[in-house]
Amino acid sequence: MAVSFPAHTMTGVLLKFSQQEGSMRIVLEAEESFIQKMKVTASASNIKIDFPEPFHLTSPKDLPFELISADRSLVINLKEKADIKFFRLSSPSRLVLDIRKPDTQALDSQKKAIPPEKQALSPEKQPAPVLLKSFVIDAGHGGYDFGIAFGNVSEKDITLSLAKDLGALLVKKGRKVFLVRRVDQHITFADRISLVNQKNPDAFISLHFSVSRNFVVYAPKVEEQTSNETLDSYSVAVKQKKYVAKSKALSENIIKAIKEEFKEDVFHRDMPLPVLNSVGAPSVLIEFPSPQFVTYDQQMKTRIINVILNGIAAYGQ
Amino acid sequence: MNNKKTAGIILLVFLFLAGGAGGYLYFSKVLHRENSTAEGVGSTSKSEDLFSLRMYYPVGTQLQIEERKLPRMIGQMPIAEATVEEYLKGPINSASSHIPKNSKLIGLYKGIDKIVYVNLSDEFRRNFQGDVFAEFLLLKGLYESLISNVEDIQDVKILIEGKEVETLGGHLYLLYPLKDLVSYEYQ
Repeated sequence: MAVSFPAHTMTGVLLKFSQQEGSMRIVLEAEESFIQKMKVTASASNIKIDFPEPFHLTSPKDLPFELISADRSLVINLKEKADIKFFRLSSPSRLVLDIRKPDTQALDSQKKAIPPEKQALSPEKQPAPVLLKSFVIDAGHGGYDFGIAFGNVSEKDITLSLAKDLGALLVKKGRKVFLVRRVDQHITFADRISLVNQKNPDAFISLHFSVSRNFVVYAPKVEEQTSNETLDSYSVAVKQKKYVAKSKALSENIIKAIKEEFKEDVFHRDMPLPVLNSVGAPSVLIEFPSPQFVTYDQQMKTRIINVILNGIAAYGQ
Repeated sequence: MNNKKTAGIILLVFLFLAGGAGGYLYFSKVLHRENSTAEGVGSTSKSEDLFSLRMYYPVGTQLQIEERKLPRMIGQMPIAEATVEEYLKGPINSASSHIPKNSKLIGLYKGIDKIVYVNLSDEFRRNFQGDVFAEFLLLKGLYESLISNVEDIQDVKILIEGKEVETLGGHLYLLYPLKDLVSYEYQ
């Protein structure tokens, strides 16, 4: 008996390329669902794009970079190191890769200003000194609560990894650090709040994901006069009253640091969130861009940690 | 004689069959007319006896209002149930909403404190995928939908599988009635 199988059609991907002085743009056009499911991993000199299914690539000849195409992936090897940013757009649906040469002139002039013994480390690795002494870092979600998940990346894992890395860096600087969770476990609001109030840190930082491509920073919002007995009885909006101004300053400094590093808009909201309003410490909740839009490789994590370090350093001064 | 007898029998049989057929045609017409009249009455009452629900759905970073027409109901609790059920179906005009999939209303009752207790299935908590603001809008949308459609209620409290849970998505309290939480004015 003859059995017919449907022919497997490959999705077409059209590569476009443009170049200007010091920067170039690579655009991949395909069906919207295909674009949305692409996973991009970028390092300093190459970009790997994983596709959800086999694809057919159409591209111009004589490109100033190397293309290595496999069944479900495409690797773009650049000739030299570059700053790489990517984003997805619609109408037509496309993935845009902006590749810019590092600003060598600015780097040189900065190097001249830095004493030779410190030139080994870039300014990014030399944030302002952190004057605060103790921190509680809260990796959002955990255990059965995955938070936002995209593919095999989940909020609970990335926030834990960031919290551990940030904590390790602060410990290296001789600061006291308490992590709300060290492993993949569920912790209630009550326990998170209790730990912060027990440790009485100089800053409390809660790490989460946003559903958008933007950073969102939350500061506590406390009503001047709360007449709400229910909320008062559970200590929401009570402990934070003394620290609101400091929390605001902490969040503003972190926002400034994010803007400086990522050159993107940062949303800022004051909201009476349980983990912010119930703690007796300067507190901030940071949401990082969704993994749908950003690849959380080591480079991205390092940038995020540096941003937080810069923010708390500026706040401490 | 035999021929006459046979003709008589045939005539009788013919008359009997003709009578039967006539009767069938007559009654089937009458019944059809009655049925179509009854259907007509039904459809008229259906089209006339509708009422509107004003729904507030979380879409993007705001609440989107949609009107829903439903057959008229007697009593406020059936209206409250219909409101929650419509809410869980999600908006018609937008595909991007953070209403958790496959969530079901298990039950709903009003306390003497005029708080409506909405008992939802675990999917409402388990299938929620969103950030702080998405969680806030999800709860605010449900609260606004109930308050604007149901008379004489003061607050809304959510239970999951009949129990109080601390949080829906790990950002906001679900232990308390929603009014104070959702009264926050956002920009």
